[in-house]
Parts: sequence; C-alpha cells; structure tokens
Amino acid sequence: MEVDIGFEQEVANFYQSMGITAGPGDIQYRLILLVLAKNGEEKVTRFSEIREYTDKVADRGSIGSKLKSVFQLEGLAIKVGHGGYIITHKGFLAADFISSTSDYFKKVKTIEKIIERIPA
Amino acid sequence: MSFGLLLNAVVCFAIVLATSAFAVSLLHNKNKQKKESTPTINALIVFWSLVGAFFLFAGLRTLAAYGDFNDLEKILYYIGSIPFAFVTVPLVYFIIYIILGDKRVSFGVSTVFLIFGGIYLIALFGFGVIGPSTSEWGSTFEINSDIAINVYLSGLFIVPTSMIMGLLLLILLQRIPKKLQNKIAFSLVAISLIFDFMLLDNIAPSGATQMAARIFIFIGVVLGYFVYFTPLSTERDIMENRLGLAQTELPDFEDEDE
Repeated sequence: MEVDIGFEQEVANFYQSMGITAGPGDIQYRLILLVLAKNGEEKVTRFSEIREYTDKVADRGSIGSKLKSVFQLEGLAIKVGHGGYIITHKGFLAADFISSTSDYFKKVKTIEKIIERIPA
Repeated sequence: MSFGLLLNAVVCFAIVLATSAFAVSLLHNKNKQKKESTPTINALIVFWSLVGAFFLFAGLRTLAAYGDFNDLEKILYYIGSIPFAFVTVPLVYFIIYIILGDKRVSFGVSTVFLIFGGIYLIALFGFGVIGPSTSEWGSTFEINSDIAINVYLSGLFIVPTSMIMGLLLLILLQRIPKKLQNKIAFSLVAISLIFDFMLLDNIAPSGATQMAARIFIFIGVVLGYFVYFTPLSTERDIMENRLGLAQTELPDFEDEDE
C-alpha cells in the first residue's frame, strides 16, 4: 500500500471544505495512520519514516504531538522503544475508515467530473 | 391530395427550424461553457444538425408526396437516410465522453456506430425500399432488407437508447442539486424522445403513425431547447450552485451582536 502525499492532501482539503477538520480532514492524521497501516502490526514504524511523509505538510513538533495526544492516547498505536510505533487493531479500523473516505472522495470527484462534462 | 400531408410537411419544417436554432444557439454559447464540456457541446451540435437535415429531407419528401412526385420522393428518402444513419455517431460520442471523459475511447466507440450506419446504408441502397405508400397524414416506405432492419434495430436503436437510459439512471441516483438534476434529466429525455421517435418515424407503418411521431419529435426538440436556453439558466451559473461555491463569498454581516 503506497501513500500518495499529494492525493491525501487533496482528500484532506476536500473534507476540510465540508467543515470536517479532524480525522479525514486532518492531513497529519491521515498520513501518520496510513504509514503505520502500511507497515502493519509486524513491523515497527520509525518516527523518521513517518516524517518522510509528513515533513512536506507539518513540522516535527506537530507530528510528535499528534502521535502522543491522539495515536497513543486513543490507543491507535503503541510506542515501542525509542521513536518506534506499531499500529493496533483499533488503529487498523481507523485506517480502514480513512481508506473509505478516500474512496468516497474518488466517487464524488468522478460524479463531479461527469457533471462538468455535461453542457449546463 | 390531403391537407394532412401539408400539415406533416409543416411539422417537419418546424423541427428543422427548431433544431437549427438549437444548434446555432449551442454554437454561440459554446464559449460560456466549461472547457470540459466542449466536446459534448460539439457532439450535440452535430446531433441536432443531423436531426435537422433528416427532417429537411423528410419535409421535402412529404411535399413531393403532396404533389404526387413519386420518383422525387424516393430520391429524397434515400438522401434523408444518410443523416438518419449517422445520427447515432454524435449521440454515442456524447454519452461515452460524458461517462469516461476520454476523447479517444469516445471516438473509437462512435466509429463502431459509424460502421453500423454505413452497413445500414449499404443494405438500404442495395436492397432498396418498397413504396411510397401515401395516406392522408403521411407517406411511408418499407425497407426491403432484413439486414438493414436488424442493423437498424440492434445497432442504431437498442444500444444508444440503453446508453441514454444508463446515463439518466446514473444522474438520477446521485445526490446533486435538484435543479441541475432536472436539467440534465430533461435534456437526456429530450434526446431520447427525439431519437426514439425518429427511428419510429422511419419504420412507421402508416401516415398517421408517422405524423404522431413527428409531433412528439417537435415536442422533444422544444423541450431540449428550453432545458438549455431558459432565462433562468442564463441568469445563474449552475456550477456555482452545484459546487456550493456561491456560498464561499458571503456578504459581511453588519450590526451583528456576536
């Protein structure tokens, strides 16, 4: 599962435009969760790896804070050693939900494009 | 000869006028449309022009029937069959482009219908027609070829009609603003109405059926025209409403307590 930063940003902006600023509309949340889900339960995700994806959209401090205040606190990921994280079952559920928001975004965009092609 | 034939010819010329006005209006308003819809506008212009061309010859043919010029009528029938055979080409391009947004695929699929149209014409010209059979309300011909009728029904009628219905269903099932949904649905219904009755017109067993089909076609053209060119549609930018952009620039609220 590849994580496309540009696409995720587009999806997050779409949800933000509907007033959904947290969860699906939060690019940091999306990227962190998708990177954790990509590595799965077996592989430890290093903070540096998460930053490879998030550096373009947020600073190091915000990501660290998000991991602590949302992911660890809500039990979406557990900290392993120094700077390592593993996704939990709850985290996978959240990742599935985020994937479904991407699908919904694609569906909406497809319909919008179809409508745009119809002369109005 | 009867007054009914003259009335039939008048209806045909009314269709020609309405389709021409529609095609010209679409051409003039092309620049106001979004860039993405330019290929569909072009396809619609070609579609309405072909419908107009078909009814121009149908009207002349009916006048020839009124004057009892059977040979001239037959020639006009054959000429009119050319725009008739290719009317599905822009229609299929229109639908495929709307759904897929790919010009090459749309062109490819519409080429298949161009071939269908060509086969129909070859069969029609090769085997000829029986008639004319003139009645009080119209003049009809019987196609003397099973191949032409089969190509015509399967290739030129069932598939494009199913495509229109599929697109209509797709639009109706979406949560889009009612006004826009109605506009799209009515324009597709108008196209479908014209297309289906045009085919019925060509295989009409009697003059009365032909006359009825032409009246429905006229209604369809007028419906299609008003869907696109009502005062309401020119005043408002539909795109703004459907994408919610109209609300992004709200006026400042003055004297608000908060």
